[in-house]
Amino acid sequence: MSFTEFLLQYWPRLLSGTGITVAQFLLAAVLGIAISLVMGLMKLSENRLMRGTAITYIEFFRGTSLLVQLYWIFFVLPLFGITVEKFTAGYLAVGMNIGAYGAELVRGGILSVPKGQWEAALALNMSPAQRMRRIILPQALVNMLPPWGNLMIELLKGTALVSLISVTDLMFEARQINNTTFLSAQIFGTALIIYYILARFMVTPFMRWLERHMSRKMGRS
Amino acid sequence: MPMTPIKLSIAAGLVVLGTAASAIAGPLTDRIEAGEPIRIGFSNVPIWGYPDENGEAKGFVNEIAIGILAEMGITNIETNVTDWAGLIPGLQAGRYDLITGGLYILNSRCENIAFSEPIGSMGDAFIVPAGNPMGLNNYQDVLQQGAMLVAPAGYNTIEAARREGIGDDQLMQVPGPSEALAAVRAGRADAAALTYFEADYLAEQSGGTIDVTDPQDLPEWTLNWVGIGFRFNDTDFMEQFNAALADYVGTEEMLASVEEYGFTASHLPGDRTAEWVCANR
Repeated sequence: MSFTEFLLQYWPRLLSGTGITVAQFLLAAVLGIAISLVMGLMKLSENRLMRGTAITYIEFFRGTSLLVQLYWIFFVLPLFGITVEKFTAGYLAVGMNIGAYGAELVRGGILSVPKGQWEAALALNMSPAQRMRRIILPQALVNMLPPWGNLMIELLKGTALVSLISVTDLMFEARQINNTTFLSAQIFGTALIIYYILARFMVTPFMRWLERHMSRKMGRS
Repeated sequence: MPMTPIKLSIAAGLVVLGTAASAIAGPLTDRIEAGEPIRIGFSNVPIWGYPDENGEAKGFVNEIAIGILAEMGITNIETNVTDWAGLIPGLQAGRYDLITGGLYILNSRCENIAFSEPIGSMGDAFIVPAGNPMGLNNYQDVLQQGAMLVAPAGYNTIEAARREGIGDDQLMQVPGPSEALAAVRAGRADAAALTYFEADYLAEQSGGTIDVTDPQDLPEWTLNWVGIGFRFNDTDFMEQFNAALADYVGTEEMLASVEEYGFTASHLPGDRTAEWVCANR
């Protein structure tokens, strides 16, 4: 079967799979960013309990494989009474995993803000919350955006694993089509191209735009 | 493992945590009474159980299971496709209510899930490159020639190969039958050990590049029986299922529904009970 024939026959399934992948990506990204912010800030806290919690979370989710975490949420948690629907389990696992990596990026970004900024904010009588929200975080954001671009692409590729808990994403559809037609070259080639298109033309331009936007706002462009 | 009182109470505690309130009706009966669909789990194994273009459950085990459920008056069914090796863990985790998949009743599986009475029996075969260049017809041939055998993870053929003395250096495990075919085609393995139905189907689809060996060349104890898997706490439902099964399997209606897959009267299970098969396979 030629490539164009193949595409003409299977594009609806591939499109629906891509839709699920994008949905998983966006949900996991939102969750991951939220967790990163919280955990990154907690890790910088003076309070030992908060720091300890953040360290435990980060070490656990960074130190164990995403696939094992996915399987754990899908197969093992129900045995303890916590049953999560598989789509939710998918973006939960990927989001929590990415959150652990992102927390370190947030921490690094905040620490890279010059000490003078902290002192100036203190001199201006700003409360710690105001200082963080209005002075430190915006500057930290500019610094941490480039590595975040990397992490977002990792996240996109990480969503491919949810196919193993039968979420009908792009990889799942690709494998099902392969199992019935054995057209491995066409199907996996197409999946490869789709992931590349998503990363190169969806994630990367957005991150670049965000970087430029934030630099402009900070007056550094 | 011996069920010491502590392990027993822990196991009981987990079962209580993981199941619905009622101690008498199993979770599946509760689901049916609540009007929720029965979730069938299967993988993508040609002939046995696979999804078609629209996600409908095809394959003879699915057809028979759905036929039996229809006999029981149950038509509210939801199909779920997953990795083959994830079927039993998924059933245990309550992700599915019964698993078709294409599961042989094996002792090692009987320890983890309950099986219905057998719905069929068939043997295994190898797929080899056309012409069978290494002359591999059974496990002893593979062992003596130092050939590489590939089989999907969790399949009975892996247990059979190990029983015949094939070590891990000669055994490759892949996620499913299509990967096993790809391994043989790419020359990464010299033969793939699959069930006869799959092997025959793959050889037919291959356009002459793949041959299937004769299932009679494999030892007699590789003749296996197919059952449908349930959780241990759904045995109340399973008893009703078995009653309908006894009425349905072997009827003209059933044989007509599975004719397209090559399942004939010769594959009917006869008088074997699941208990006997659990003990002898």
